[in-house]
Amino acid sequence: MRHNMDMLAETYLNYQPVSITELIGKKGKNQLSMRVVPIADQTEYAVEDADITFQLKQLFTTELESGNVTKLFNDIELPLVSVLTAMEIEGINVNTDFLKELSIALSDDINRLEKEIYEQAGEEFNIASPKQLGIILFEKLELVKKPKKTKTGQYKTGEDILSFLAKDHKIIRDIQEYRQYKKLQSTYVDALPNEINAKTGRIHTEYMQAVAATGRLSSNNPNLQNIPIRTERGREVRKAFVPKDDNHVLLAADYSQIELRIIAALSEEENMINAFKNGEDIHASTAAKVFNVALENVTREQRSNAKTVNFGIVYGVSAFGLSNQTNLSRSEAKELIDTYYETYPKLKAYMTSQVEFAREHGYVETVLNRRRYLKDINSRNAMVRSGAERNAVNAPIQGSAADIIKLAMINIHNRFEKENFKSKMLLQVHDELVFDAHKEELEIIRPIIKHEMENAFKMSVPLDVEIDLGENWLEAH
Amino acid sequence: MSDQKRVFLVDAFALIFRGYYAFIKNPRINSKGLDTSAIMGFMNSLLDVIKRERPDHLAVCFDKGGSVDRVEMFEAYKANRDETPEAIKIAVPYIQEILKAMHIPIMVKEGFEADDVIGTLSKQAEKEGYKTFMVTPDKDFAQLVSENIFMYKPRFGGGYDIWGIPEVQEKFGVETPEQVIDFLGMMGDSADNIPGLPGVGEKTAKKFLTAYGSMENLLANTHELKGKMKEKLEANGELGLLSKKLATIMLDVPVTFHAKDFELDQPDIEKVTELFNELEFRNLLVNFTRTFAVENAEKVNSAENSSEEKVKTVAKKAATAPEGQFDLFAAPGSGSVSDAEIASGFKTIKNTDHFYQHIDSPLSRKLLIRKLMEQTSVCFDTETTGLKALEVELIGIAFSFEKGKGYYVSFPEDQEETRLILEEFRPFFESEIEKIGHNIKYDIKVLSNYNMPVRGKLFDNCALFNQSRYAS
Repeated sequence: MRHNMDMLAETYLNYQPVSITELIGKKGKNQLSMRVVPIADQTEYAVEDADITFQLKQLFTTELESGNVTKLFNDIELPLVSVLTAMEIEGINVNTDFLKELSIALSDDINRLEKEIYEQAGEEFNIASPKQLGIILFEKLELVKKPKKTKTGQYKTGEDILSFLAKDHKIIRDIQEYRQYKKLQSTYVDALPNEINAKTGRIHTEYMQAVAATGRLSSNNPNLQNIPIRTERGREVRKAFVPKDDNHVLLAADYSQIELRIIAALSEEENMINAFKNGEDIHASTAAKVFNVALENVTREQRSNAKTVNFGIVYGVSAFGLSNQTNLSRSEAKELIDTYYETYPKLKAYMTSQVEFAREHGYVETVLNRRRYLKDINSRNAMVRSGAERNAVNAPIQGSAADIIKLAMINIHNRFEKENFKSKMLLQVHDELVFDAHKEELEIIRPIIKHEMENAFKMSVPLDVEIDLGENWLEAH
Repeated sequence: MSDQKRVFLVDAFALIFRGYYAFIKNPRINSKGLDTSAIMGFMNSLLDVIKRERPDHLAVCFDKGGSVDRVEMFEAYKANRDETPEAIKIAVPYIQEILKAMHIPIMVKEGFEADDVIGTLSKQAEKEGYKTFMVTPDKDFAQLVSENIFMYKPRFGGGYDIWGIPEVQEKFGVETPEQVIDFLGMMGDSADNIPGLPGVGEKTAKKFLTAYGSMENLLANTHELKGKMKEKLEANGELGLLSKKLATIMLDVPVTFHAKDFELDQPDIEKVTELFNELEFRNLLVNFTRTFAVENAEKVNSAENSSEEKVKTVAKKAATAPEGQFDLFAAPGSGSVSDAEIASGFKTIKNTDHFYQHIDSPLSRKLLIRKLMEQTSVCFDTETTGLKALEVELIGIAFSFEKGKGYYVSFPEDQEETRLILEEFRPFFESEIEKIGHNIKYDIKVLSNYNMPVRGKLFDNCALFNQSRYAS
């Protein structure tokens, strides 16, 4: 954070602040406490910070006006600061006993997988060593004729390489699973208890407003945005998050398909807007249109494929990507995407218009004028440029979703403060808010949360929020 | 530091490749679509060396057309190399252009590798009484190390290792650096496609060296060996000798070390600035100006102080560390920072008018609070015992509401007393006055440890930063 300020001061004020290391030394064991720094030096250092921060504020206020984002900042980002602070101070309870059990269960899984991998390899080796693993997979088992190598001559064994082989080889699937469990165990299951505050006994995540380029919040210590949810073991980590006490339950409120709703609204794609307005199952409805069958005759597979396209479209999915995620061949995937755009013609037009806007202005905007600058949009390098083009489509969608949930958080927080509820908003993860809901207040806060979230921002497409309760986060989700 | 003059010879391609791969996951592409990773990586290393070492003499050595002799000896020499990446090919002319603008000599000889050029130059410099540092990550150079010739080896992840004789002895398990040639000849080198002795890897090579000392002696004594190894060595003696030859760095390239030409000179700042701007190297330009600004300051210094080195160092220390003892904790090499800042154009606390007051009596606090309450907008910033806001203790709070002016309220270690002093500020923190901060969530959380709520409108520079046009 401090580093960031030095950079701002150099960039905007042409001023280089006193470095903290000059005062108390470099980070680490030998760093001094500010307490032992002579008061005269403390004064110079500390007031300089305040002075610079004050000066930067004056400058940024002008900068905001010229960028036409004053409203976004005043209406969302600044009021959100208090909301996030309150959530960070509140924290959330964690069941450490459960985490211990989960860690043991994971160790069992890991040991079992290890045995199975050794058996298939015909010998014991260090699975965590890419070098040894490469030799086993490509020299001993010869899974591939011409394996790829790294610059240092080792075989590549990264996830991208393994994922191509997973379909055909059990050992690969076992290794992938083994790695997942190891990662899960070290980054979450064993690490979460260390994040518990000794005084409060709770975990106090820190949110950052200005890190993700899309405008979404990111979190740290611990990072809750990255807890895996696609695997069963990953989801189980959520079981560790529990209510404050017996008087509370966890309440999770989740926007359903918010990004798809936003793109429908922004592109004014009537076919999709109507489906949402009629409360149809959007994936089934898309499948019916794309595969040209009656809604009631849509098969599971058709729905599932339509769902993949619906989610992928926002991220600029390609035929190649789609065929990897589904059972479709490359040409089938291409056909599906083409038909999809024919079904929703305005979607395609909207995406093109976003890219053109970015090319002309150098940025794209969300519903609340949050900007994302795309400096690579005119790059000569086609790879780089197409990355920026995907962002031109994606940033307004993700960013608008961020705008909306931030607005909802502010409104909910203010309502809760005003009514002096015992229930508290605790977490914001992806499109979801998590609360410690006091059992006596449940009947009152549930509709408040739903209302504030669904009405945070008015679009031509209704927003839909699902609320669930539970004795832990997984149950509530 | 000894009085011996120091020459730095930079292995250009090794650093260019290294720089290029450092950015491989996230290549630097400028707005014109040019991949500048290799140029940036190389320049970072070069400036880093200059900043750290302030060499008296410096030259950058390039390959040109590969080694004619080695290919003649062995057709497959370096034949296994991948095509040089596009970004590196583009980089070379830019780098040479920059070096010219920096007045740094480029040493290159058609038909010879940079290794040979550096080898020849270092031996010549040694004869003239210079200390040579070969800036390269390539272990092959270890064979050149002597009492006056060192490897200056970039460490993975930053910093440098200096390899002298003891380091080479330890790394390769040899008695003299020259034996590194035997070592490389025995085990071969897949990167250069040097075959080596069949079946001999690092371990065996070390064992052989300990026992026989050289390739020739090993081949002359194969009768002492047994089994497969004996057969292999006896059948491949020629290959071994060839490998040794290929691994030998040549010391007779037609180049000459002219000390005068290698002196590190003032760069053509304007020209370099222009090139960096074209490439869009914003940070590098700052780094560059700072690097050479120090250079300038030092030159001026030493011109003024005829009594040389000692006076200079003392003067520098006095400038940055008024408290003496704090110098103990200053980052290495930071001794000249203040000169750099002044000369590089950044303002600092030392050359900027400011009035920062320490507030430590009940009366002065009362006056400060009265002043605070008259404002519409105040910046505040806490100083604490650590980074975890909800676990730290308050040490001080700085306030500012006017450019260049501010106040620092300090708090004692006694937490009860701290609480009492903080209470005096409750009217301010609970007021509607706008509070400005940098990552103000942190400060509010610290105050929450003392049940001190912060109300009113908030402004946080941190929260807004990526809405700025300059955010990347």
